[in-house]
Amino acid sequence: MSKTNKTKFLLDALTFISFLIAMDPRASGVSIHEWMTIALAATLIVHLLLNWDWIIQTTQKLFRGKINGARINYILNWLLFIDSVLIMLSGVLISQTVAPTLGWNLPQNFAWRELHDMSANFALLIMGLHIAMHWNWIVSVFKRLFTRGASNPVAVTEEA
Amino acid sequence: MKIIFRIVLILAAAAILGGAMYAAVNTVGASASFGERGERMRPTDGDGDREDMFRSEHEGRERDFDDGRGFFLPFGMVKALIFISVTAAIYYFAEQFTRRKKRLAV
Repeated sequence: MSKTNKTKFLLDALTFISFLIAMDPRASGVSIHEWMTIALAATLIVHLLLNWDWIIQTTQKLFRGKINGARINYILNWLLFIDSVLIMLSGVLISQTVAPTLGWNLPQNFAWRELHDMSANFALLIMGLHIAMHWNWIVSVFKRLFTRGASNPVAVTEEA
Repeated sequence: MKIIFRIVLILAAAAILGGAMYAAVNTVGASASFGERGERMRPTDGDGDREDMFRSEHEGRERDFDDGRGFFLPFGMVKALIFISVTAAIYYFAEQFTRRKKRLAV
């Protein structure tokens, strides 16, 4: 298995676990919730960088009208990106720990709280679909990573 | 250099989207009372009970975060995991079913 695939898998697993922890601020506490989500923004950027080639290729195909099977995946990835931006923006605007620590005095707006909750719930749906679309890749890399010497007929292809 | 350019591109895309969302929400908030619901409806005469009555569910949750009551069971995490799993399973099996149907048709 290529080193890139291993890195992608471990980073994605870490991101997913962090996402689950961040989804429960009651259990983790608001400070961990906020700082962990800031860290998640960094892992999101790394995730995009690792899948940059796929993004460029699919975008080019889309503009040439040659895209077929990856269209839903591409649209879904954009939705996930937009939703992530909305979660982080609304999260910063209603922040109780990060903004005061950084000395930001942000105006209170009830709409951002509603949007933060709604976008976080929507992210669960898109995340589920995102995982389903890459399930074969996840299973394949997991097997190669944790089952030594196991032959795997499924080719490990990389998709964003 | 290439990686820095890509990071800047991602951040620029996020900034454009974030800016557009911020402008949209503030415009909607300014024209409707949606953005100020909590503040506008809240009584200002210092009546504690009435203030509680108007306090949103989110504000109650904020108090729960920081009241130092200690460890909460991670129901939110479990709920999120179940929701993601169910969504993924529905999509995955629907896709498998469609593929099998297509294969049988051919």
